[in-house]
Amino acid sequence: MAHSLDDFVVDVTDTIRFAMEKIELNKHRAVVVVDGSTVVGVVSDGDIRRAFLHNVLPIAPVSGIMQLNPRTTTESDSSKRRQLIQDARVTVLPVVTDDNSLVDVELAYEPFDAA
Amino acid sequence: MRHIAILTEARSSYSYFRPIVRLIDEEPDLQYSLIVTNQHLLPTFGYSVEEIEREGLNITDKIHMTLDGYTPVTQAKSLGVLMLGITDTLARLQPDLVLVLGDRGDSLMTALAAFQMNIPVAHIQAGERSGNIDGMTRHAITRFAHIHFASGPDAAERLRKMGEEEHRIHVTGAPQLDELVHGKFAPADELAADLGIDLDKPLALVLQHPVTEEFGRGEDQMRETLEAICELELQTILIFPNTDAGSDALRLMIERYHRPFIRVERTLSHRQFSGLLRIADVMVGNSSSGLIEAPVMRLPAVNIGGRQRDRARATNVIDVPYERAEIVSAVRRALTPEFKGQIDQANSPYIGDGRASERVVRILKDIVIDANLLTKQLVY
Repeated sequence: MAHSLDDFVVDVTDTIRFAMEKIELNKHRAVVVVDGSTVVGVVSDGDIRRAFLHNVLPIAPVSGIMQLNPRTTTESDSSKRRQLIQDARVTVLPVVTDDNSLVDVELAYEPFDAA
Repeated sequence: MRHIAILTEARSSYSYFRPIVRLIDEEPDLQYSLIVTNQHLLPTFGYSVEEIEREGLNITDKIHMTLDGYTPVTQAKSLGVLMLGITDTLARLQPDLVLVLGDRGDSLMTALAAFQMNIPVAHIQAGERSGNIDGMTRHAITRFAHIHFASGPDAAERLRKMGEEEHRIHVTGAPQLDELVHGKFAPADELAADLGIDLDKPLALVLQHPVTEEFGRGEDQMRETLEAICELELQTILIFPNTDAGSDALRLMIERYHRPFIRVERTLSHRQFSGLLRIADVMVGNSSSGLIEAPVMRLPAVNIGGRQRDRARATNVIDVPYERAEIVSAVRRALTPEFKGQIDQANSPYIGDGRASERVVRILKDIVIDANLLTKQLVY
C-alpha cells in the first residue's frame, strides 16, 4: 500500500498538536520535521509524551521537542532501506538527498488499517 | 547557621556553582538554597534543571522568566520578570548572603534586588573584561556586590581601579576549573557511546552564541561557521546557543545544517561537557569556555568574532572574523601537532589550581556581616 508523504511531514513552525494529528493519520508513531524541504528533525509519540510530562502545551512548536539528530538515509535501493530501518529500530526513516532534502520516508511496517 | 542563596540560569553557570555547593553541603555551619531560572527551565534548551535534580541538590525556587521572541526587547523585559520573581524569593528565604556569578543580566537583577533589601551580595568572576553588554553588566554587578571573588590578579587590579575597597576583593581563582583540574568528567568511551563519537577521528566542539550588540547578524555569523565545518567535513558536536536576543535564528540555522558528521545537542550535562573539552581536538565558536576552560585541557580554540574581544587569553586561542575561509584555515592550523604543542597551560590568565571553590566557601563562612560589609563606598 503506497503511503502519502504529506501524512509524514510537518513544518518546523507547526504545533505539537498538529504533529499529533499527522501521527494519528499516518499510524506510524512519528513524523518528519522539515524547514522548506530540509529535514531538521523527527518527532515521535515518545517525544510528545516526554514533553507533556514537562508541562509543555500542545500549542508549542514542534521545534522545541523534536529529536535533533534523526537517522536518515540516502539509499535508493528499497531492500537495503528495509534493512536499515530494522537496524535503526525506528518506525519512520527519512529518505534524503545528499543535501538533506526530504524525498520519501521508509516505513517499518504497513499501516494496520489503510481505510 | 549561615544561609546562602545561589542563582543559576544555565549549564554554564551551574558548572561554577556545583563544586561550591558540594563544599557548602559539607560545612555544618552553612546551608544553601538554589534558585533556578531562565534556560534551565526550558525544554527547547534541554531542560537542564533535570541534571541538578538528578544530583539531588536543594532547589528551593524555579523562577520562569524567559519571554518568547528572543529579541533585545524580550531580553530586557525577561530580566524585569526575574527581578519581580527574585525579590519575592529573597523576601521569603531571608538568606544571609546571595551568591551570583559572571556577567549576565540574571545575576545583575539578583544583585540589584538583594542590594536594595540589604542582603550582602558575593560575586564570582568579578573584575574580568568581556564583551560589550555582558562586560558592562559584570561591572554593574560589581557596584551592587559587597564581596568580589576575582579569578586572577589582573581582575583584582581592575576592581581596585574601579574604586572598590580592598577588604572586599579576594583573589580566589576560577571555581569552574576546579572539577576539570580534579578530573571530574565523563570518560571518553562513555561519551563515544552516548554521543556517537568515533574516537579515532578528529572532533570539533562548536558553541556559538548570538552577540547581543550585533542583533540581526547572528544568522549570517552562524552560517559562516557551519559552512566552514561542512567544508572541513569534521566530526562535530554542536551545542545550542543561550537564550540571548537572536538565538532563535541561530537555532534554526543549526537545524538546517544537519549533516551526517554533525551532531546537535540542546544541552549537555556538566560532566559530558567537561569530558568533551578533554577529548575534543578543537573548540570553535565564541564561548568564554574556549578561553577559560579550554587552556586547562590544552584544547585549541578558534574564537570567532568580537564576543570575547576584551577577555584575557592564553596561547590556545586563534582569533578569526566571521569568514568561512578564515575559520577553515584556523581550524586546520589548530589541528596541527605544532599548534597543540605550543599551548602552555601555565600562561592562562585564570588561576586554575583546583582550590578556588575552597577559598570561596571559606570566605562565605568566615566573613563578618556587619555595617562595614553592608555600607559601600568608593575609594576614589
